Amino acid sequence: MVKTQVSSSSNEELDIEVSKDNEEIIIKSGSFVDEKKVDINKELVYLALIFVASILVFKIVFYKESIMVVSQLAFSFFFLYILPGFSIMYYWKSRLEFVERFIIGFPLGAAITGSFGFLLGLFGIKLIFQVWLIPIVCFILGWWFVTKTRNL
Amino acid sequence: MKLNSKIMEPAVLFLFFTLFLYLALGSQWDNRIKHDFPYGYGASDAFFHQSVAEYMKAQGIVKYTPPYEVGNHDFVYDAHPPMLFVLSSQISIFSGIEVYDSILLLSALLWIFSGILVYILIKRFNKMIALLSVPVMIFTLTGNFKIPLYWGYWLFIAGVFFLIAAFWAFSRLDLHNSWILLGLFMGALGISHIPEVFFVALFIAIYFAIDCFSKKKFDIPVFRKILFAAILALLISAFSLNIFFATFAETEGFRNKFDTELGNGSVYLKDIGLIGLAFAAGLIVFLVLKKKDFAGWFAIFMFFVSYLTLIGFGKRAATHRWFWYFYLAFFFGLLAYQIIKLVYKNVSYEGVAIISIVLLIIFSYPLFSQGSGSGIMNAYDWQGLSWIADNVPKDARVFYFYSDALGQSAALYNSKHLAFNLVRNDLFEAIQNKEIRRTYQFGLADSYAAYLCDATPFNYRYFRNNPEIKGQLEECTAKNHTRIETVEYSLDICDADYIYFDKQASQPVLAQYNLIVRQILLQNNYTEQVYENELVSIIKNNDLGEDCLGKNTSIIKLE
Repeated sequence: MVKTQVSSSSNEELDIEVSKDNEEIIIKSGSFVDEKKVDINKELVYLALIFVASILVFKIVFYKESIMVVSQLAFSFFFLYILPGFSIMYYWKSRLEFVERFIIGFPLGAAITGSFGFLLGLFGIKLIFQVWLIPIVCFILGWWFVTKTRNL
Repeated sequence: MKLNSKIMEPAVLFLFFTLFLYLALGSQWDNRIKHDFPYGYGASDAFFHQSVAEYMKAQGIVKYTPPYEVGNHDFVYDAHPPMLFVLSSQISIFSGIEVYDSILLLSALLWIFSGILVYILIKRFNKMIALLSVPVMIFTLTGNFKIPLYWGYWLFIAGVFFLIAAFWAFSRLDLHNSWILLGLFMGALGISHIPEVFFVALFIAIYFAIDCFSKKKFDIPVFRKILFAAILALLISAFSLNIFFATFAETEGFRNKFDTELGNGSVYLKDIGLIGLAFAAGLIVFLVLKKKDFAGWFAIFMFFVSYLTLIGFGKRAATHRWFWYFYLAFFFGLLAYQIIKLVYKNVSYEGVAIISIVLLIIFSYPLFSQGSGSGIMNAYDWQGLSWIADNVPKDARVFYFYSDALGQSAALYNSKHLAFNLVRNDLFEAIQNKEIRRTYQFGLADSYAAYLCDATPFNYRYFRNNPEIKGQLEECTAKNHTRIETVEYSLDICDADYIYFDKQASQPVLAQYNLIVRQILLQNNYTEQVYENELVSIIKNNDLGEDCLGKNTSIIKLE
């Protein structure tokens, strides 16, 4: 085995071992980075399509409900949980593909909005303010991750 | 026609989401989102969590338990982890739907997304296996596996949702600063359902130890990430954990139950039938394979967790069996993939996606014939409870005679008053003996074992009396959670401020008995009917303790 160190594109150091016959590479620590290029405009289109599809799904499942109620509900889930979580996931935009960031965005958004909503409540900030405050902070952070940060 | 591989993944996931939501909630909810009363509620826990969330939304913060659920004491800390109450209140505020709808809808979505998170966990290993794992998850909607949604195990569903998210985050510790994700998910888990924190921590400890052992070195960078995540999780959940240790940890301690504790809601291996054989075959394939993926270890570990009943974890472990079709889906996908590869050497992603869609449709088709219903509650009892909530003085006590809908005491929390429910066996005995009595056995509707409160801003104590003695404000001074029951089990109906009757019941004799008691009460000068609808009659007692049956007797024998 030949031990060596190389740098990945995220400047992480990789400890690797290469077998003598050069057939096997063992990563001892760190990882190769499959850096993904993110096209924000394209992703905004995807998000819009998913939002419309969500309304459609809700309308199919709850077909006796008005389109207004269904849209309002879909918007609520997007605004409160999915988009805040997805925004924060832009921190890892170069390492995770859109679908993974979108899906993990939901538990992340729920974790952030729920946890910090609870904690803000302990300091007397009521739910009615939290539902605006937390998502907006997440959107600002997300915008910052999109525009200002290097690929991580 | 050439199919675009990019649309196949969303197509499978959207189909899964739509079918699951339709079968889980659409048909159950009469295909509506807004209802006039809690719709599709199947058991007490559902009403319990709904009523707490309702109160917290009204208060604007998630902190204290509704007084009428803790013996009329104000400012008692809610012993339950708050996450679901926060989320369902937020959704209700933002979307305008009632909390009783938002909490069930949210739980259903967390349930479905738990499956989708398992998909993402598997996808890292192999995209095709992930797609093939999806169809089998739909079997979660069969038999007892669907119980957590309808019986109100919603805090547990939220716990599983964040548990899987935490597993995903742990599997992605290679990402820069990914400890933040693990910490956020573990923190959220800490305020969602605490036993799952222990299970994730146990997995991380075992996985890390084995990893270090196999590499023959202590992996400091990974350890540092786990440590940072633990600190973040602790910061998020510290307050809630503190409440937990002063309440549930005190009253329950280690569960020490060796059965499932779920009665006829239990799930055993035989319940997964032939699919179980597919899981077992998939497990063998996994063990034979050289490359063993994280998703497989996750599945094995969670199956192992569901059998921790063997060492006394009781339902904290057994409830995870409801999620077997999610946890073990990886083995089904793995087996299906190996079989497909045997038939087609060059299997394509698009082909696998189509097989997944076909399987999904085949598996879900029989489920469309499953029955649905509005659940325990009905519009008339809901109106009756709402009338009490809005019109009865705060310290009044309401006695409930037999009602089909209100047998589950937690449903009575929606009256927002102290509620005493007639004990069924005592009622049956009275009917058998053909007697109307002044005294019956009534159970106080309460669900909490410890009434934790602030003695000082930095010191917890407990309220002792259950319920609070009428007209006496108790100080928060007790040093332990032991309570004093301040009302007898046998109560005189002439001491009730209000008495609630249903005029119809599934068994006519029960309604007839209610009507006779009601009629006798209305014959005296002390009581009057203050509310009535097609089903419900509420009697107010204007002179407590008087001879409300008349004839100076405590028992009236019926002919």
